[in-house]
Amino acid sequence: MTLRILFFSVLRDRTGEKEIEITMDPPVTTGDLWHHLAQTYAAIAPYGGSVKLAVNHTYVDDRHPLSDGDEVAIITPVSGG
Amino acid sequence: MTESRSSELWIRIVDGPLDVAAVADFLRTEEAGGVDIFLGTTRKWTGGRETTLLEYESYPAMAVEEMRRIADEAGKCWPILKTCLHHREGSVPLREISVIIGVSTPHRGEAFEACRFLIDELKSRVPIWKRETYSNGEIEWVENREWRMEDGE
Repeated sequence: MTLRILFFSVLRDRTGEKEIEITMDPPVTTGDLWHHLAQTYAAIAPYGGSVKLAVNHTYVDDRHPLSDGDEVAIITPVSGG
Repeated sequence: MTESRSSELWIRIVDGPLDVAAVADFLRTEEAGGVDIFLGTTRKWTGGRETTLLEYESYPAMAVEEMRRIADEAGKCWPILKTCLHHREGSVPLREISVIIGVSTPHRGEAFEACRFLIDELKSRVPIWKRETYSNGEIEWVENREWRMEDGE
């Protein structure tokens, strides 16, 4: 299945990517995806303890099952306001 | 600009100055006895460091949805008549407004409480990030202390 991954803020700086597409063999959870991304981009691995993932604009936990075509945003601690 | 507007709820993310007068006008209604508006502005000094440039970036599609969810939650706790959640993107010069939170309610007490809830939740959840450039050349992506990992629902 194909997933669209979005990076913002410090993770965009660290990966040099704003948006990527990746293909993985199902089943894949958000936890699996983070593990894969942290291996691909070693520079983001240290942020594992503070990121949350959002699937199709909604925060989910690391056991959320992903589906083909999902948009997954990697959200570091926010600082709006 | 990303915007969602109904007769009771007005959400915007704008690359440019925010309009307080338009917010006050939207919020006033015959049923309301109180309108509470909070403005967040760019501060020059944080600790001992002087900010020379402040920039915001957002994930606009999700930010608007998350702001709507926060407004819905507030509506379950207080008798809110109208709500505004406006945030600026891009660079925000010193003294200018980065965020406007506004509510109207029948009485003032609930307006103050709801407004406080809305800004606190926005700071803890809405995917918007602030990058500070300081006078000593340091550049930093800020992290709000309100971010709560245990809430990854």
